Amino acid sequence: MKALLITLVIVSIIANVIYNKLVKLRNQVKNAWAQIDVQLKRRHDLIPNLVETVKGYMAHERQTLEAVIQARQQAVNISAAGNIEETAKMESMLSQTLKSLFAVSENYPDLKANSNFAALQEEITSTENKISFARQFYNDSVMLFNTALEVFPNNIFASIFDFENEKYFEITEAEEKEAPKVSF
Amino acid sequence: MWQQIDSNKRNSLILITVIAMIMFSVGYVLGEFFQSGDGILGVGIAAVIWIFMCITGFFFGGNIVLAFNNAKKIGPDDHKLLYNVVEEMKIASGLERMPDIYIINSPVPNAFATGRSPAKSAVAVTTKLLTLLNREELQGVIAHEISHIINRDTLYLTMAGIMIGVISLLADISLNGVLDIVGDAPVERTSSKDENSVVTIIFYVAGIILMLIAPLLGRLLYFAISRKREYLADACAVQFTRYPQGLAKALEKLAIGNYNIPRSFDKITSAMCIVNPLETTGKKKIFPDLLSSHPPIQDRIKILRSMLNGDLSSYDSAYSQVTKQDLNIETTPVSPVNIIQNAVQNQFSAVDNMRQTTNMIWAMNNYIFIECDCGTKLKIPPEYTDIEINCPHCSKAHYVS
Repeated sequence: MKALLITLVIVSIIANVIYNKLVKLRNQVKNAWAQIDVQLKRRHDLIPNLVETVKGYMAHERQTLEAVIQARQQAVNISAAGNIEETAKMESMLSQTLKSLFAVSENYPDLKANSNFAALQEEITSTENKISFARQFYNDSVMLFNTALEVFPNNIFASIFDFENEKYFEITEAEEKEAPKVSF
Repeated sequence: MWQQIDSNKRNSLILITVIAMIMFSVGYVLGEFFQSGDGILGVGIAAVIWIFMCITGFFFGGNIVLAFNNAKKIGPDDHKLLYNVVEEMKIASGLERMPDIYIINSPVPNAFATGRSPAKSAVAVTTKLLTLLNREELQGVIAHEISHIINRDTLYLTMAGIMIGVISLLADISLNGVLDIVGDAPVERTSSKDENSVVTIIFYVAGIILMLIAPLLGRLLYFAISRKREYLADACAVQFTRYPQGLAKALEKLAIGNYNIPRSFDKITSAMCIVNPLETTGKKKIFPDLLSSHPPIQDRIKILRSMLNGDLSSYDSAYSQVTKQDLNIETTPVSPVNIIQNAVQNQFSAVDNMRQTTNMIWAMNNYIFIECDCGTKLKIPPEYTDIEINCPHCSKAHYVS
């Protein structure tokens, strides 16, 4: 009888430890997801400044500029709606248009000398990097959480406590994996 | 990543316990020498000294190192590039608080990290490093420093370093005293029992040997931990940036040698720098220095260059190949997705880089900036007291505010 009691106590302690660890990891995942949104919003705010700075110099690149503004607007609208896959797609398209914009700006030496443009370019580059790193960190958190769910003692408790695997952030469309094509 | 930290925390604790045992043994032996039976008192005194020095080290240690190097703290607007690079690494590593960023005005390239916990940490970079490296290389270096912070290296190495200090202190001061006592002892303390005197003599001899060896042993352990930690920091840096070539290129640029910020680091405190400030040449030594706080830079570069992916297990296998030893990083597979990388690589221009850095230093030192109509930017030091100054190119007069 006593042995049974001791076993029960030990098992419940183990269950407690595992549960707490899983909760911490899951919250880390949720936080990491929210952090991506922070960076995306930052990019949305920066882009109008970029376009203003560039407009004077790149008067005949109207198509490229309009593509950027349109992509940004779409991304803002879709992220407000809340659909995760659609948001990811729109944000990827926005990244593509920004890349084209910077590629085209290489043709304008006056623009490159403008210190405002250089500062903005650094800011946009940094923002893109931060978005990438935020996604990377999100994926790393998901990996840690999923691993913690699947290793041996934890997987027994995971189903009891109703923990589920989280999804990785992945690129769904093949064309987004390619570098942007810029033709003059 | 966190599992990584756990297992290495464990190993560090074990090694530090060993160093602590050495320290307490020295204290015990000392106590026994001065007053037989007072071994415990000796241990107590050693512990008190250590705790006192730890408190000083933890609460003021980081600030002392920074002040000693004349480091200036910068805000988000002082050097946008550096701030952005550090912020990106903060995001990639999940650090809870943005570290304080300091710049040291120095002609040698180096960087270091301090801080007893991720919640209170600092990163310092020299101006020469800023002008020497481009964005991705700088990012590799910063990732390495942030890895030190995340892996709590600053905490462990500070504690171990302080213990070494206590061991050396006790051993140095008391070795003379011990030899004095031993010189007189066998005659006076020999009791009627012969076995007793033999034991006593053995005890004294063992004690002297311990005093001589303990500091050396402690140092060997410390530098072994320190070297392994450097490799681990390299591995974690690659895990954060997913770009081993960045750090490899930075180390190649740094491998020329002579990173000594004069008189501001000693052997123990140099552990937190990216390259060993006490090393004067980057060439590979025939017999690697067991008392060096950093592994040979050529090895570090080789490992980074031979990695196929940017994760810990890749670093582990590259390390085994290059050094024919095991690093035993507890490796976990890295997330499988290739993420959209940087939008644009800024063109790296050494001149622009240098100009930006020196402008920032002058701004922090209260220089006055005046733009002339001919396009020249005048930078006037605070010592200039005249009302007017003439542009060196077009001779137009400007009012100095």
